[in-house]
Amino acid sequence: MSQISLKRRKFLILSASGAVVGGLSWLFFRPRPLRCPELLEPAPKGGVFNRREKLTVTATMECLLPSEPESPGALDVNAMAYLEKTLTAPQMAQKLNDMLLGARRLDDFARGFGVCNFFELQSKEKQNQVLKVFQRNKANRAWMTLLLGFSLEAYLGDPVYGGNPKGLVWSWLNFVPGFPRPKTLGAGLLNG
Amino acid sequence: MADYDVCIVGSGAGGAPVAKTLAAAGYKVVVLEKGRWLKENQFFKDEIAVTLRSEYQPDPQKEPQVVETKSHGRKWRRELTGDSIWKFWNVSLVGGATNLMGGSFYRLKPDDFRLKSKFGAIAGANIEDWPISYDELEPYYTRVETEVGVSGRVVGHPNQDKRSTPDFPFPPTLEHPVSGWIDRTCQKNGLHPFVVPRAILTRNQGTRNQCTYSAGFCARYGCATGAKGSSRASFLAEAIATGNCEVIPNAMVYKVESDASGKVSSVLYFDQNNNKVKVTARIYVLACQAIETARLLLMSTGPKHPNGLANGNGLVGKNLIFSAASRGSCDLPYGSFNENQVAELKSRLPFINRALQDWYFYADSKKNKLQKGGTISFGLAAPGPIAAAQNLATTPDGLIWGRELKEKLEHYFKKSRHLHFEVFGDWLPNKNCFVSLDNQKDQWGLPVSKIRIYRHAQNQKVARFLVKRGVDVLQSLGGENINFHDYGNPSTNLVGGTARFGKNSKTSVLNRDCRSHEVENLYITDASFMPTGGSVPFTFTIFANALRVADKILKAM
Repeated sequence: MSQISLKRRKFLILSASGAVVGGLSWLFFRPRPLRCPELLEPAPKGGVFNRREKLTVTATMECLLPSEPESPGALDVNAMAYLEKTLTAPQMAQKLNDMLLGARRLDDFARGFGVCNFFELQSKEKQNQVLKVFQRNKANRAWMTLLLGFSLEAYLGDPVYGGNPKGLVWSWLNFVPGFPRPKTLGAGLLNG
Repeated sequence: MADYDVCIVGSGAGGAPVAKTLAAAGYKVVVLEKGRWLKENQFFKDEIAVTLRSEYQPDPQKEPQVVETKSHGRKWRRELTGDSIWKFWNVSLVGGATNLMGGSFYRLKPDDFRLKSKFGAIAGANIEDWPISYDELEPYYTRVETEVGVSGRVVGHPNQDKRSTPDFPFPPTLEHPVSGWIDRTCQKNGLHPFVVPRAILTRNQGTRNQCTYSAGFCARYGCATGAKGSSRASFLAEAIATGNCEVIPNAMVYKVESDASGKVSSVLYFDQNNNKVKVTARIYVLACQAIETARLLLMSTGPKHPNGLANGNGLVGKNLIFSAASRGSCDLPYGSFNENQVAELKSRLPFINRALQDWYFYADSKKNKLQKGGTISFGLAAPGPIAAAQNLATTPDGLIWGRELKEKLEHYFKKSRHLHFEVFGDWLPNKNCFVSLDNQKDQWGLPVSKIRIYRHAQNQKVARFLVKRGVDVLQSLGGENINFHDYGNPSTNLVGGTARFGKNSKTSVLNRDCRSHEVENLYITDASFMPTGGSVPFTFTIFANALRVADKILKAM
């Protein structure tokens, strides 16, 4: 299983800060009014995100695929649970790194808008406005693309993977899956 | 005494026909396959595992390949394929890439066997004629149609394949109504669409069941019914049934040993526990896919083969070819058609099975000289919803998300169908397109393949010509949001040329029987043998040639 140690998290924070200062500082329209504590907390056992990372990534997923009265969103398809489970695979170590780095950059970016973390922005409208500016940077757009990619897997993948419960999104989109559908994860190859 | 009469490395389209022919004749055959052995009931339509995580392909971290490319006169750029857009690993399973093929089975034409003498040399390209003619291969195409199971209907067109039988042994698959639209539109414009032959059973044969039309999840997915003509379901199953063929999966062959006389003496492989195992036979056949066959030969130095097995003239790995691939697509929005047409568009039948070869040869407008063109093949867009959604989200203007993305998803899935076409052109072999060994090592400590790619300018000229004609058809159909790319890029799933056959031992690796000029007990039956590839997918030709070579081996036993 892939996990990030506290030492590694500290390195990522420094890397993300460098990227922010080096590449994005011109986007900050006001001086930082906040003193945001740098709390280094590990992910809980079995998870890959700590509390703040999880809230920021979840909030982003909910912007990318919002829940609406007539159509499901990331919240309805267990997208965060799917993402965490996917990122625990050893071969996902690099993508987990990229995910944490990008989440950190987003939180730092949000400080220019008066909050310590992205998820603390009060409305989805505000969050989307921030994301629109955030993704103008190539690295940030790559991160959002990565997160959206995983979110769409949870959204449209087979329910055996934990997302798209009972084919909820398939039903909404009148999509007919191929058969036979998978009974286990990983094409039956993961365990030999 | 040797362990076996014949040792075959690779169980795909090149290896399995040889296994069946020799086993059926009573010889003891072993097939060494690097990948795992999945049975029919283990193939699922699982987009995440099969296409997004590529779980049938080797892990690029453990088994990297290196690719070298160059653009606009700059230096060669080297990168690991794991970091690159290029992924040259095919399927590592018993049956190889035939497990996942779309099974569009086109024959080569007679002039494909004599491109150089018919059309002349092209500056910068290493085109050579084949040492055999179409007429020598034709009986084997016919046998593959029966033994693998190819369905279709001969409708006749100006470049119709020359056939010894009047029609295909299996009727064509059920077709989506848009096939009729293509027929009418093309015929109105003086074109000659024809039914694409498919290696898909349309009635049960032996233990194999006919196609159940699984919502279009055919190409890139394994077949759970046995309808798809994979080498595993067809030739290999029959080889095993003789009692004379043993298939050993998870066997990574790392060296073909040779003795002081230069003959092959044994094959060495790592088994699934990484133990080294030696196998001996009288005859050895390599069919690992052109890149990996070249790699294995280059790694297999010996007393008489200091530069690699069968590589006395330095040509192993050279003249790497692909299919020069391009594509186009369009939407067919329901709002643009009447009620009857919408009802037809909504059909769940997955196959279009229409192609054009009106420009398989065409006159270049500037030189007014007949030249080689290609095939335009139409189909419905790939059915995987995740990839479709990811493509909708990433546009040239940036990422789309939220309500805007969901509206696009609704329109894509609920309010339109999507048609695409593929263009197959000849990839011109050239001195800058070849396979060699890199210093990078894989998980077994073996040097990996380095694949240098150089696209001859003619590839793109032909691609542009054919793509324009494909786009014209999409427009005639009322297609909207037409997209295309016309680069004539290398197809990573159609690879050949690295041990070309020929009459002259100075300019070829294999003789006309696909036996090494230098090594009398070594044959190569994957697409490595092809000096040119034709403007069609290679698989049908690989199957047919492997049967032909198997007969030669039988005679020589």
